[in-house]
Amino acid sequence: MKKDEFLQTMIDAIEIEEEINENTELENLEEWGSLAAVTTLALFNKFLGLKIPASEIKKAKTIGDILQLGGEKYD
Amino acid sequence: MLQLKVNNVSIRGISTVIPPKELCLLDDKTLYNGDEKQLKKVMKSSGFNKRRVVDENTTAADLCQRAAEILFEEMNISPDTIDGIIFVTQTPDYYIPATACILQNKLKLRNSIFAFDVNQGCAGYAYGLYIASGLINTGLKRILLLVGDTSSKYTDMFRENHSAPIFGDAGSATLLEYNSDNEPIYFDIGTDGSNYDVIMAQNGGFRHPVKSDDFYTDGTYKYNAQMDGMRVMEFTLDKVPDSINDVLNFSGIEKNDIDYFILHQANKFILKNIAFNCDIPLEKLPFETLSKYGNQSCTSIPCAISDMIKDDIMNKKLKLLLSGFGIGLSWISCILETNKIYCSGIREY
Repeated sequence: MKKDEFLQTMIDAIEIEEEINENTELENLEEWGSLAAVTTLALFNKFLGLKIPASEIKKAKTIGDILQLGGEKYD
Repeated sequence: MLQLKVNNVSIRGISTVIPPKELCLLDDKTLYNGDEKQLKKVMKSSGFNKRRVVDENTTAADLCQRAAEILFEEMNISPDTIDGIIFVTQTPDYYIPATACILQNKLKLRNSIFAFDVNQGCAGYAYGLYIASGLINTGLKRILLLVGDTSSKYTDMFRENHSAPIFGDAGSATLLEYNSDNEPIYFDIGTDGSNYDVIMAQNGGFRHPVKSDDFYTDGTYKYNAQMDGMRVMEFTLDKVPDSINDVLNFSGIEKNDIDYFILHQANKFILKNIAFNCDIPLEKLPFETLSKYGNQSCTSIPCAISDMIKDDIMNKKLKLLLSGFGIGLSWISCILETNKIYCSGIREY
């Protein structure tokens, strides 16, 4: 899966309605919270085969920080 | 994980009992400090809405006793034919003796039987099946498995931060029998005690004995019960999909051949994520029970069976995958077959 495809999957799963990009700050995103974070962990697991600890997602400040957690697993 | 295959056991009947008193989350105006918008948001994602709670004089043992009596009456089973009783609960009548011994007497079972309690929570029903099915193979004919909890009594888990109480109370009785013709039951089991504090009640045991300043001003005891929601979700997404896939691989049974995946009714969000991770269609992984009756701890699986698939389990041969997971941390998945068995449906105490 490509990084932009993963981002779109995240947008659909969390039901993000506004336009976002890698610079979007999570604290300004209404849909972001603990459930969105856990949903994202599930997406990393399912689509990239990555088990990322919740503590890593908690450190993220932007959408870009989250996408970086996919590392080299993107196509 | 620990994987086992147990032969010669069949479930003959399941009955479930809930208390009559119903509470609805929207009726409690103190939750989230009166922020109804926040409450509705939580209700939408978690799926919780109503729950049943016992009065102060009713225990899990009472609910299970009634469930067993219903099973005996409606299946025309004599209590004399029971060779052992296992009571799975985290809300026993007393620290000592085991409540199973008290139930042996109340249910008029023979003296020549075994009786013991098992301290397990949300993984408790599948644990009970595992223990009972193993013991059946020691030369027994029938075991009565009672599984019940009154978790609603751990009120301090939610009152401190005014969050939505989610636990509902229930009791169940399952009759297991020796049957050499039945398909094996397959189990996948795991334990992680390093995260014992994810869900716990700290006070009242012997590590932190009861003391006089552990009471609220209204006289209720402060168990210091706690649940770390994020860590619970992290645990379930980490362990449960693997457990489900592992027990399928171990059994050699195809996922598509499973009629229903009955999981511990933890919350709708967790169950939908597990279904998503495991590619299980939601029509095979029902979760409506939790909105009607709350998170029923160890009783959620038999109650989900009674509530959502009673007609199918009574009229068809079914291949079921059950998965219980939670406090401990403990997880256990099993695959079993039932063949038109008795099911009481949800009954009121």
